[in-house]
Amino acid sequence: MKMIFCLFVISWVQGEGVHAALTEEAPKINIHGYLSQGFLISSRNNFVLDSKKGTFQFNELGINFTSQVTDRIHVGIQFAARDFGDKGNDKVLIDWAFADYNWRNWLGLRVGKMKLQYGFYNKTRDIDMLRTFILLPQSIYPEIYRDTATSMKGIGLYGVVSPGSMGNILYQASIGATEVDLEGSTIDLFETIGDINITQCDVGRIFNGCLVWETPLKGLRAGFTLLDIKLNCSGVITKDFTVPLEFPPYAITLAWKGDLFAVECPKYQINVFSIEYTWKNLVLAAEYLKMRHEMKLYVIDRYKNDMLLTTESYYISGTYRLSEHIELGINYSAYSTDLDGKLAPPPVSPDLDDQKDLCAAVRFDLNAHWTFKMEGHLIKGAALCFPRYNLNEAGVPIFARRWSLFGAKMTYTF
Amino acid sequence: MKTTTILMTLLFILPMFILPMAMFSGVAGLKIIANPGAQTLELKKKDIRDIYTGVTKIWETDGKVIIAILEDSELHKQFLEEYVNKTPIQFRNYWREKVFTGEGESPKSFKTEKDLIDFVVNTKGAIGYISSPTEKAVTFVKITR
Repeated sequence: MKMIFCLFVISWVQGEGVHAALTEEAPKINIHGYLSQGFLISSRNNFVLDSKKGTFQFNELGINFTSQVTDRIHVGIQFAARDFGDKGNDKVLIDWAFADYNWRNWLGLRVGKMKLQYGFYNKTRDIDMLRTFILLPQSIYPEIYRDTATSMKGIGLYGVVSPGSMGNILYQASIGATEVDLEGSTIDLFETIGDINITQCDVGRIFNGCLVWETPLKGLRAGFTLLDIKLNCSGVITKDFTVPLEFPPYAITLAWKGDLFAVECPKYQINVFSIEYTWKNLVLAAEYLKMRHEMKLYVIDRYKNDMLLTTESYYISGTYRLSEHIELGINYSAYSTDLDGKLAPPPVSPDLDDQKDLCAAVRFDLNAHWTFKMEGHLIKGAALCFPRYNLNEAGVPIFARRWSLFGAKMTYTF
Repeated sequence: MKTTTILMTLLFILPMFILPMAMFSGVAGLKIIANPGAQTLELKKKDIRDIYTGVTKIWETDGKVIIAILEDSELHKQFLEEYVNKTPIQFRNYWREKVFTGEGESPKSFKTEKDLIDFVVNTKGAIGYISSPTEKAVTFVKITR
């Protein structure tokens, strides 16, 4: 984190000198920000901590400072904080901070901490003002994994090529690393459903590639995103791990509470195919995601298991702006997951295997800076619901199959 | 739920075939102007769209492209519809996306054509649009198909 900040300052100072020499003016610093406060209430399942009672622990804020220091060099930094139930707690983090050298339209270079790109909308999920819906379709952009899907540190290339009358092909490829918050929602999910306590998690390498084709048909664009991650985790087992068998003794305990474990993930790959069509005030979008997560689990030297977690999800969405002040939106998203292995653990709950969500939203633009939104969800399944907030008295996650969610949010942007 | 899925899929797919044939009409009087240093006399409509969506950031003749707009005007709305295929709100949010991901700066916004023309005249790499002729030292960009 300190390294990136230093990089930013160095680029800025050096850039200032170059720019001053060229224009005899100090570089202008642009400041932009956003602040949003939301409310969530759900029926039958807690989507987030205490959402069955209704919660205001749902907000985002951010501020950025950017400067065009020369014709080709642009630097910037954004600080962001969020609160989502008991996650985030408005802790201020560097969201992104990078220096951008735009050599040609077909080749640019970025160094520092950059937003992770998967699908068309992950980069902008923190900025409520940019979309009709409060929550992005959960099947592709689940809140539960949001803390690990925001940014990466590294180096990236980007640019655009325009092959004749075929439109534009925009590309972006980045390589680097990211940090996993041990207090975050992703770790929380695995700890709860796996009965483990993760004490260390390292992302060895992350590759993020993205191709977007702006087709010759006005308003139609299609994209493909690849996220490839290698990571290792270790920790302690918090509950005896017993697997049912079809023959006597009908169950076998493979690991005991207090055993140390390690998980190697040689392949954690996410592919997203995206399409979006804009015609005047109508925007239609659809995305399809396939995730493949290969895991090797070791419990001291007693037990080893290779497991494969696969996820398939998609959504379709339509929004229409009725007037300068009102926009309507509807989307349907579906998510399913499957865990396979030689000795895969028994399912925690069948409702954790899938989730289907029908959402309708209305957005009011009070003016260019203020928006107010409301949306309702009818949901079947609970795969993207936080298990920790839905435990029964025995500490086992338990869900209602059909449930609903309502959200409202107000945002100010400058 | 299956019926819902099929219906929503149809709702998504059908307009893709029905809606795209948007009419392609010119806007009377609208002129694209550039700083004389840009030395760009001819651009295609697609070039204008690429410039105003930040896809083209560097002029072929070198130097950064600086976009000027007349926000909150009928001319702005007509220009976006004709050249950028976005409504003013879509255009504003498109650039906000660039600003909040660190990938670009918002276009320079002006209240009057006079201010916009002055900016284009005095700023290397600037491009804008106006509705009425000007005698100031700007390059009028010819739009080719």
